[in-house]
Amino acid sequence: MTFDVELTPLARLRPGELLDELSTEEGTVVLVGRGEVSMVVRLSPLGQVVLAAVRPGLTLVELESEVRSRIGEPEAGDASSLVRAAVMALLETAVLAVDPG
Amino acid sequence: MSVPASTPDGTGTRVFVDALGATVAIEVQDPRILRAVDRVWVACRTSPADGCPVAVAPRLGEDADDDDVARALQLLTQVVTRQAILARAGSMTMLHAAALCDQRSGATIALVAPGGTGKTTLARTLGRGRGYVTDETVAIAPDRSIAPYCKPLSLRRAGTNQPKDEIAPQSLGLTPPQVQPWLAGMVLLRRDLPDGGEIVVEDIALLDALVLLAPETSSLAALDRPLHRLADLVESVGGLRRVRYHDAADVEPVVRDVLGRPR
Repeated sequence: MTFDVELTPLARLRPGELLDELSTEEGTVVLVGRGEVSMVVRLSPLGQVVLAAVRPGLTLVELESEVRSRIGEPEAGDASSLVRAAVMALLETAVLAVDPG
Repeated sequence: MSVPASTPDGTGTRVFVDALGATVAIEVQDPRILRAVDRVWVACRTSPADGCPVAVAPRLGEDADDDDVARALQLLTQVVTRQAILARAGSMTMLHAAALCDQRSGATIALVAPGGTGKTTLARTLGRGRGYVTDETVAIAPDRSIAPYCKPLSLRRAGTNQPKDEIAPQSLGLTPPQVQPWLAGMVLLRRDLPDGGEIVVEDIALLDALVLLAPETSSLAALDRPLHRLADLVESVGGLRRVRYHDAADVEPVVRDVLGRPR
């Protein structure tokens, strides 16, 4: 699964086609895809926050703000870069989808 | 065993087989393939069923040789499997696995592995004296009962670019289950140890198990709440273990342990 939509400031992020989601004390996995083509993806801690935050459909800037409000500033690194990296990873695995702005 | 029936248009013969709990009609035009189907699918033969899925055997040219028949049979097996999986999608959890059962209790081990990585060899090596459930796909109901698929085993020849030979399980000393099989345990196979390496058995945490098992499922997405169904199945058998090995015979203690479990 790949994505080829440019992540512009107006592009709206939303959950991909998630067929199921399972959370335990270990973390969260989601099943993405349709029909015969499906894949289980294990989310990182930040990935879980991003997926939960993005459900209404948000731009990247809105998402960064929402993630900050949920978990605060990171102890190390730049929040924007970290969120963007998480978003890119989730787009690559189709956990997130993007609608061009 | 059922008697083959003519196709509706009268130009061929239908042989009915039980695959993953579904009846599939194998439709054959060529008498050379029909003879072979009669021989190698004997453990799956069942009564005719109206409206069942049909697997059409490839047609052969007049000058076809034994290798062409072998290739046709190999392809036919794949078509039957595909039709059976489609028929059971949404109701059964299906894993790419060989499976063997205890002939008294029905306790069954699913030996999960991608195609071409040792399932048939394990079934053949460890299956004598046990029930041969399948060497290809295990279909598991929510109550853990298993619909057997006693298909012919596809055996590689020594040379490269050679077709595989479809062999009836009975010809290899394997017998179908005598009692209802049920899933007692499952392991993920990795034949990645060097010759002489001692077998390694590792417990896999639940979420990692789901990530590893998902590629070895068929029609997972067709199930209701598929991740929950798969997780329930994994937990119901005490979790998934990964077995790293080189020689199939080294897996014997793992099989013996699982087949000795009570329900």
